[in-house]
Amino acid sequence: MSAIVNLSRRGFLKAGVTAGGGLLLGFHVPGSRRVVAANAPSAQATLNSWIRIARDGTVTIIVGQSEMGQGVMTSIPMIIADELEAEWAKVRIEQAPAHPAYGDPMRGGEQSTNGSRSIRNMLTLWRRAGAAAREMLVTAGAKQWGVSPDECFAEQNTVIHRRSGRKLSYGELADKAAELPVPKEPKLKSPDQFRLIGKAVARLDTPDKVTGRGVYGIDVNVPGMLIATVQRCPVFGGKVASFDATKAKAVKGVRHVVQISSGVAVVADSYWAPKEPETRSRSRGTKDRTRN
Amino acid sequence: MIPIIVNGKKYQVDVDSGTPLLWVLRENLGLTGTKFGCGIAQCGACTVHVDGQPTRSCITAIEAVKGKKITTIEGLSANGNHPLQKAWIAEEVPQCGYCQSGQIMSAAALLAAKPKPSDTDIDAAMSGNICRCGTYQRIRRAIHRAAGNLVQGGAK
Repeated sequence: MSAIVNLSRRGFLKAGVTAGGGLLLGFHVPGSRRVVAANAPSAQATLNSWIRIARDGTVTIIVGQSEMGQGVMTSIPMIIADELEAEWAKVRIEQAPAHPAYGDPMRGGEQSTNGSRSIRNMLTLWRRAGAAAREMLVTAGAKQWGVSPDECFAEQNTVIHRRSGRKLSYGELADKAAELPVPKEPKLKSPDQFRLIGKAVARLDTPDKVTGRGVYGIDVNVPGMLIATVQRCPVFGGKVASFDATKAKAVKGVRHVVQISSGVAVVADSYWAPKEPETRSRSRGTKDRTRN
Repeated sequence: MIPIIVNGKKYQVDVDSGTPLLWVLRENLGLTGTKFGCGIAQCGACTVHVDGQPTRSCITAIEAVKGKKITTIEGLSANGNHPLQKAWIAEEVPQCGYCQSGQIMSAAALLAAKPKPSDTDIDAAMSGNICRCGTYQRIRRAIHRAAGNLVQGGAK
């Protein structure tokens, strides 16, 4: 769950060498230029996730869904890694930004996580993403050996030439694979070939959750960020009649006090400033009495 | 300036004396592993150790911990290898994980005081830590595992 990536759409569509020296397999299934019609979840629909393979063979799977304890930060990587024939121990996860590329075609392109719909709607898309990447790596290996891709297969981060037994790792092939066209109809595995799908696999996000490294919404900090805390009416339906911000504004760290539709927002440098009892008691006088 | 010792490091923090330890950890020191849950010591998400004692940092004024030794989830072990952290992974305790820093800190204080706790000991020590995902049975199993007790199935 660690880093949150924020690539531009242009960056998303292009394949190329990453800043870190590895390789971004930023490929996508054909037809994915825009989020497609809601009734087209099949083969030609959007690829909603993408895969990065570093030169050391690390496979990073970027997840566009939200983890809420349901395990989606592990289940999506399982699906993609299985079809990709990635070695599970080399799979890493990254949280995707909010971006149309991650929309669910079954829901009109909306990027949201609810209703047990992620896997139900998008399983095939993710399988195709993994399978397409696998075929590109196999083709890259075949090219290097001057043989037909039909004579080669992928197994656990390695492309193997069946007849000669020659091998090349995904890390070695990633650069070349990214230059290849994306297969239009990647061949999916048959269920008896699954290594991960349908199996019990340890969650990838657990280590971060037992060491305090996991980043939750409240932990995100961006330069110049201010925190707004809303004082709401303690009575249902109450509205702000008036408020006096003078004393709240005098509290260290408080920048603005503004009325919003649901109450009064205290905007400050920190979470704590508007929670200070002093601030709180001073803004409490703002609640509407006419409707109580 | 208020002197505090967090995870073995000395800091001088420039905050009002009444500022809760939680916000000093999170906002001044950038240690976001300790979570804000309720702000009124009712949920346990903000639990840290102050001189070894489990403490709700959300209601603990910074001046009350002046010069004391504070340990947060980030400082519980060097590499995430505290027996409880290993047991938490082995038992796959967390779901959303938001409460788990506090759960682990409470459990660590329990094991320090009572290396072989019973189910009753665990329930008593952990009752102040709420988990909305409902991972309580796995928490209990993980504590037993870390204590080297036979895992009792997490029932009850």
